[in-house]
Amino acid sequence: MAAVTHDQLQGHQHGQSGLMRWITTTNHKDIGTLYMFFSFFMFLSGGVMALTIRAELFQPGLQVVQPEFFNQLTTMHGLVMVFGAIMPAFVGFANWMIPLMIGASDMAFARMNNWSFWLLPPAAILLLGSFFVPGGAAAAGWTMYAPLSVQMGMGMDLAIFAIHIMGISSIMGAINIVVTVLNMRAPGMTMMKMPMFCWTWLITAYLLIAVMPVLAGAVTMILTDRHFGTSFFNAAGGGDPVMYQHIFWFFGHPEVYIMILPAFGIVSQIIPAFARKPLFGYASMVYAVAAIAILSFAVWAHHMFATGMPAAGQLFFMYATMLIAVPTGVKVFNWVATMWRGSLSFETPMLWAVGFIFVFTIGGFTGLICAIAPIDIQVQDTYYVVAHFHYVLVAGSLFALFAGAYYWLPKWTGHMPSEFLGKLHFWCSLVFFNITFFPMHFLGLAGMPRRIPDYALQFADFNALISIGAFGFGLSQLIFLVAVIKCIRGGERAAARSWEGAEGLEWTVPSPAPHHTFEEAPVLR
Amino acid sequence: MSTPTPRPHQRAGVWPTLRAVLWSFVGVRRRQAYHDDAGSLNPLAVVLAGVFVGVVFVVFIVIVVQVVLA
Repeated sequence: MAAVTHDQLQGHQHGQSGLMRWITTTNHKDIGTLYMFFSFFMFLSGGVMALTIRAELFQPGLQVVQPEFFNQLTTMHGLVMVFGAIMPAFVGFANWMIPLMIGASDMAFARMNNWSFWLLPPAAILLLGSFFVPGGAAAAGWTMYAPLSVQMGMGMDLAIFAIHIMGISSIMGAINIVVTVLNMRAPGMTMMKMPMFCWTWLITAYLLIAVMPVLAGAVTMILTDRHFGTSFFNAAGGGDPVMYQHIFWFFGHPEVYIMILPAFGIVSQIIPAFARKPLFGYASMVYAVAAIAILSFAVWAHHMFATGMPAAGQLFFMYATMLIAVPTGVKVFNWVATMWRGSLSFETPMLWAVGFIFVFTIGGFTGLICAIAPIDIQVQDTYYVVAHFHYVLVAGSLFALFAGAYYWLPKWTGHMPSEFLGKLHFWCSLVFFNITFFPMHFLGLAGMPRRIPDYALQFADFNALISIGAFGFGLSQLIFLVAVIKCIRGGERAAARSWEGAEGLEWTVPSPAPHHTFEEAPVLR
Repeated sequence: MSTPTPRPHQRAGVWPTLRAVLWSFVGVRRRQAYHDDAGSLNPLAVVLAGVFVGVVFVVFIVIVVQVVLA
């Protein structure tokens, strides 16, 4: 096998050791590991905020936190989970797996890769540290709508700078992925042979490059409105707060796909492996992902039906949003068709992938319901919307991340993850996830608004149930922590091809993957 | 993945490029047609066709909306 040399088989890495190894590393595997540990830390931080929110909402009245702090928690929970947990986790997967999947020796710009990661901890310090400044953290909601965001204390400035830094990090990471995928594939690894995960990340990277500058522009305008006398969003100075919403959601809707397309890629790797069949409709999947990326730029104002727009605008965005469901439906169909008459087995990664399809589809359907303007105006800013996007982001992105983690842990650590712990983690998560988020649909339809620390008595029973479910879900994630630590420390040795049906170049290198791989490009038939 | 080798040097014209982009909007494509596309399409032409069809898509929905409102 040309993939590794004897020296690399020993797992040697050269250069600095200890902490300096991680600070100065340009190795894609090290940087991928850093991204994933960082995102897990942020996931736990955002999770603690969520559980504080749910503790307050366990019963009506104010018991745990003051309303001002509650608003900071809902805002920071969103920002931390979106920008600190989900996005960096996918970049971590990309760093680890894309070079291994396409037969490249590393990412194209290895030093820029290091910088992309090491920008994140300062951003996280700004974001989390903003709780301790006068006035507390940003509290305008994760969307940072004007005029609230124009009026708040310095916590908002810190959040704006954190978003700037994380945006720069994302753009650099995206450029790295585009160049790596387009230029560093092994001879014979044509685009049409490329694993689905690489395709979805390639398209995601283009989306990131297209929309992160838009977000940076929006928050910069807030910053200049706050401190430099401009009035982009200040109606008193001739500005327009609604313009902020348009700019934000022009970023925000493609952002939804940035957080779900890599998840589609992970699931598209796992399902064929455990169905022991090639992915059904590989070509369709590629086209569907490309179509979703293009259409995602034409649907942003469906987030703003209640803001007020002409009937023609409402109809346009309603129709466009419903049409984007077609390519998404194609993907769900293809996953099911891949499993159809396959030789299925349900190891932990497959359980998570199947769970993803089941629960993500519910989130997709409620998205269609929200796309209908007259319904959306009823459910806007209610718990129905909270239920919808958690079904997409938790059951979608997060479940796919767990599926991918259990699938590739043998390649990362050299040990098979515990099936018992993995399955316990899955079943606890699936059950508690649904206990937490399914009743939110009923609360939303009954009219309970989101982002409030107190509520009317008729919502009390469902809220108590939801809070119990949320604590169950949060504690279930500690099972994952135990499973990962156990897997790193030891366990059953993993073979190079750790799963019987797994296909792809990453399974041709030993487990754990040596520090350097594919210094000589592999030969593809 | 066992796939037929594409013909690398054959450049596709306007209609095959548009047809590939139009299929992408539905999200389905026959495997053989996809392999032909991968071997023959010019990436720059695909991007331009994608933007063009995107604009046509937007104009089409605007017309439908106008018809509905009329």
